[in-house]
Amino acid sequence: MTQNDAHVLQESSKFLWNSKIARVVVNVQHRFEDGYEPSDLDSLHLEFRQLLSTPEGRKKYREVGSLWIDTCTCGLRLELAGQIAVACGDSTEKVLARFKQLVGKMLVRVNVTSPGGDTEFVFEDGMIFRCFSATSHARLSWRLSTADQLA
Amino acid sequence: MLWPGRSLGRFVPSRWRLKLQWLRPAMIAHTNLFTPLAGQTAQGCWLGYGSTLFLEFGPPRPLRERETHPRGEFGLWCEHIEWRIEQRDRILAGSEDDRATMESGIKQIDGKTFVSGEVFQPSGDSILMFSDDLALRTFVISSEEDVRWSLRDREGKYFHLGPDRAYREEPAPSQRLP
Repeated sequence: MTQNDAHVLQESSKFLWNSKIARVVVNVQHRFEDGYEPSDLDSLHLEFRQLLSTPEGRKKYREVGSLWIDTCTCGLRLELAGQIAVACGDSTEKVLARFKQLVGKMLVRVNVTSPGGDTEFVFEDGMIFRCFSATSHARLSWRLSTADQLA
Repeated sequence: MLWPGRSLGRFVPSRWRLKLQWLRPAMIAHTNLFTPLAGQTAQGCWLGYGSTLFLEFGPPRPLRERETHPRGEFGLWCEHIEWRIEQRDRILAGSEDDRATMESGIKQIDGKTFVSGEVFQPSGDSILMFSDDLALRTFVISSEEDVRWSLRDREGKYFHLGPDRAYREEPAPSQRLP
């Protein structure tokens, strides 16, 4: 990934900036093997919405889009005040408890760096979602979708 | 995870091989586990179970009983961590690639000279620089583990590096017997 690619990606994320997380979908997979039963975070899906300036009937929010993160190809962690609050390798109990607290948080900006495509999703209160690409594949470990694409 | 020596507190190697010294937390930030590796040549680096990365430095020693890979004079490894090998603007391999790609990337480290290593605080992420602009980046994926890197020195002593401390592994009681 070139610096220009990183810049383009960053710009393409702007439609989600200043939106709040409406729903968090945590995909944890339990795998049963002989003598080994791992429980891993496989992906994370965040759905965003914005408060309408003028409510349309009972509708107060508009759906903006979503962020999907594939933790099978990247490392992911949530940082608060510079400390690791939770990471993808933590226990399922901790992952569920911490990610639940994301609901209502506003995305402030997205920073993408080359060549790895490592990405910071910066939320209000200085909370940061940090993605570390752990693959040599060109494709990204995360994907953004607009509300239209989701419909 | 419980490591031998953990209960002993904040031990760090001062003359890293021979002597342990009790240090104040403020001094620990200046301790660099990687310093003895500067100028060493990587040889026989290999991929363990899953994506566990083993780096060997210096001339390989003859295989000992139960060993499957020759050890160098120094060994450095990390587990429960994501990593990526880069060379300039290319990504050679990452810890979530298929095994063949990971092994191919690790082979690129062989023959390179260790230039420097740095662990970033407070995350524990690190970057190891080798000759020919080869870089190994690591990313911590646990808030619950406290060991990021482990080092085996020339004398076979083990040291562990955590986010805010480095300490020597104490031999198991059975090993202390004459």
